[in-house]
Amino acid sequence: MDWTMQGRCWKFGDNLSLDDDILEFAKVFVGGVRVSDPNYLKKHVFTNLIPDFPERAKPGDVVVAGKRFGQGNPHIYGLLGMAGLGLGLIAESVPHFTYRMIVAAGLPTLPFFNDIGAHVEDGDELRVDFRTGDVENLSRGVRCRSEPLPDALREIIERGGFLPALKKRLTDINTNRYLK
Amino acid sequence: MILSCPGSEPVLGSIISIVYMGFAMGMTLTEKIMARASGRNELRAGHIVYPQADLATIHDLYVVEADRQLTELGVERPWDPERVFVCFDHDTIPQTVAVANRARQIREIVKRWGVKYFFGPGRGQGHVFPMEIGIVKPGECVLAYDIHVTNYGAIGCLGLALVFEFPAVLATGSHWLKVPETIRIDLSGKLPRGVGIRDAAACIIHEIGPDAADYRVFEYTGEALAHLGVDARVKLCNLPIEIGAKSAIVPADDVVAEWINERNINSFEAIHSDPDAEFAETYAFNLSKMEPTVALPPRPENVAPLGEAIGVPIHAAYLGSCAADQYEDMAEAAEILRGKKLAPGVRMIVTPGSQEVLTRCVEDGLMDVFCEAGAMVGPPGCGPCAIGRGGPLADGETCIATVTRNDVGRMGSREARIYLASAATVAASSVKGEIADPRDFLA
Repeated sequence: MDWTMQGRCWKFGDNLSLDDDILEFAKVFVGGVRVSDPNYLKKHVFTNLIPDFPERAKPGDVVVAGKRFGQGNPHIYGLLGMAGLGLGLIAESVPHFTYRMIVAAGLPTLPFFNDIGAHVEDGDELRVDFRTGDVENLSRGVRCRSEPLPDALREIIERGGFLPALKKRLTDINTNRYLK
Repeated sequence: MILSCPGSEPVLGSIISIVYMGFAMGMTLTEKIMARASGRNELRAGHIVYPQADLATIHDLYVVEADRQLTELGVERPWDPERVFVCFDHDTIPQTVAVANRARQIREIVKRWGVKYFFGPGRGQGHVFPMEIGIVKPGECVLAYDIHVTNYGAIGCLGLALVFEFPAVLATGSHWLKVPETIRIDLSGKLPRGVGIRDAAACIIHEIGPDAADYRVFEYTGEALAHLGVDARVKLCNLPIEIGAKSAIVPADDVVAEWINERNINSFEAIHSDPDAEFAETYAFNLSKMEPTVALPPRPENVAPLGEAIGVPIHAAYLGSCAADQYEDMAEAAEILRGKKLAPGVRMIVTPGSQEVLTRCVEDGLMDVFCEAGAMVGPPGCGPCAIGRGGPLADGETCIATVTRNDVGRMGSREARIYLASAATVAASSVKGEIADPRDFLA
C-alpha cells in the first residue's frame, strides 16, 4: 500500500455529523437492509453539503476537517464511502469511537492534527504521507507534520480495514473448528 | 445560549484520588469487570485487552449485515450460541414488504445460528427487558452491536458497543478494546417535583461535555442513589454515550438487590471501585438544584434551560425509546396527562419498553390515561426513535420527544426539528400544543 497521497484539499468545518453531513443514514438502506459496499456508499458521500462531491472528488484527494469530525452515532458507512472514493482524511480531532471506525473502514488518516486548518485552504494541492504524518501544501509551499497512527492500527488499514484484518486474526488464533 | 447547570459543583482535580507512591493503586469498577472478562487479576486504563463477552447482543437492523460479514469470514455460527442475544426491537411492525422479507431472513439466520436468546417483535426494547428478566446481571461484561447497551449499567453491568466491528465478537466472543478511564460523578440531593431524572442526566452530559467524556466511563456514586431506582439509573447510563462516553455504570447496591429480588431472577456479588482507584476526573451534582432542560436541535449536547424553548409550537410528541420507556417514565408522563386531552393538531405516540412495562401500565390505569388523552400506544420496542419507524416526522414539523438523539433526520424528514426533554415535559407540551413547563401542571 502506498501511504502517500497527492490531490485536492476538500476543507470542511467543525462537528461534521456521520449520519447527515458525511453520509445521510437513510441512504445506507437498500430494500430495508444496510449496505456496506464502499462502491455503493461512495455515491452518497458529502452530498448533503456538496451535491456533486462524488463526481468531483478523485482518488488521492484529501478531506481536511475541523474538530470532532464524525460526531454522532458511530455509523461507519460514510467512512466506508470515503474509502471507496480513495480519499485520505486529516482532522483537527475525531471522537474516539469515530477514530476506531476510520481504522475499521481502512481509511488513511491523521485524525488529531491540531492546527491543520491554519496551513491549508479548500482547493489547495496537497501531498500527504500518512505513514510519517508529513503534509506538504504544494499550492502554498508550506510543510507541516502531525503524529501518525500507531503501527498496529496502520496494519489494519494496510490490510484493507476491519474485515480483512479479522480474517487474518481468525486464521492466526486457529479457530478452525468454527470455520467451514 | 447554553445552560449553566444550576446543580453542578465541579471539583476538577481536587478530589482526584490520592496516589500512594510505591504501592499499586486499586482498580475502578470498569477495570475490575474488564480484568475478570479478560482473565487477568489486574488491569489499568489504557491497556489493550480482548475481554470475553458474558453476552453478545445484536438487534434486527444489523443481523443480515453481520451474517453477510461472517459468511465472508467463513464463519457459519457464533462462537457460543448460548451467549448470543438477538432481539427484534427496531422494525417491530414492518412497514414495507422489503422489511417483512428481511424479517423472514433474520429468523432464518437466527435459527441457523442456534442462539439461546432470541426475542421476536413486540417483546420489548433490547436495552431494557433483558435486565427485567435476568438475562444480564451485575458485574457482567456485555459486548454489543448497539451503543445504547450502556443502559445495563443501571444494574452494575458493563455494556461496551463495537458497532461495525461486532462480527468479531460473534466470531470469537471478543474484540480488541482499550480499557477506558473512568469519570466519577457524585450525586447528592433529591430531584424537585416536575424535574425528571432525564433533566439531571442532560445537565450532567452538558456540563461534562464531549471533550471530557470522550472514551471514558461515567461511574455514578453518592447518597442520592439511595432514592434512585433502576428506571432512573437507566437514564443516567443512557445519555452519556451521546457525547462519546464509552459506557456508564452505577455499582450494584441495595436498590439493585431489592429490584432483583422482587423479580426473583439472580443472585450477584456486589463489585465496587476500590477506594484508591484512579479516576480521570470527579464531578459532583446536587439533584435538588436541577431544573427542567431541553436539548435543542440538532445535537443532544445542546442542552439549555427549558425556558429557552417554551412556547415553540409542536406537531408531534413522542414518549419512548431506550432513553425513556420504563414504568417510571410512563408514570411521570401520565401524572401530567391524567384527565387532559392532547392539544388540537398534536399527535402523540407512546411505546412502552417491554411487555412487563406495558402490562403494569395497563394494570395501574396508565394506559387509560394515555388513551383518554388521545395518544397512540405502539408496540414495545424502539418506536420512532429509530429513524422515524412507525411514525416519521414530515417536512417542517416540530417534535418534542424523549428519544436518544435529535440529529437531522433522526425521526424522519431532514426538514423536521426534534427537541429532547423529560417524559413530564413531553406530556405537558402535548397538552399545550407548544413546548411547556411540566411544573405548571403540577399544582
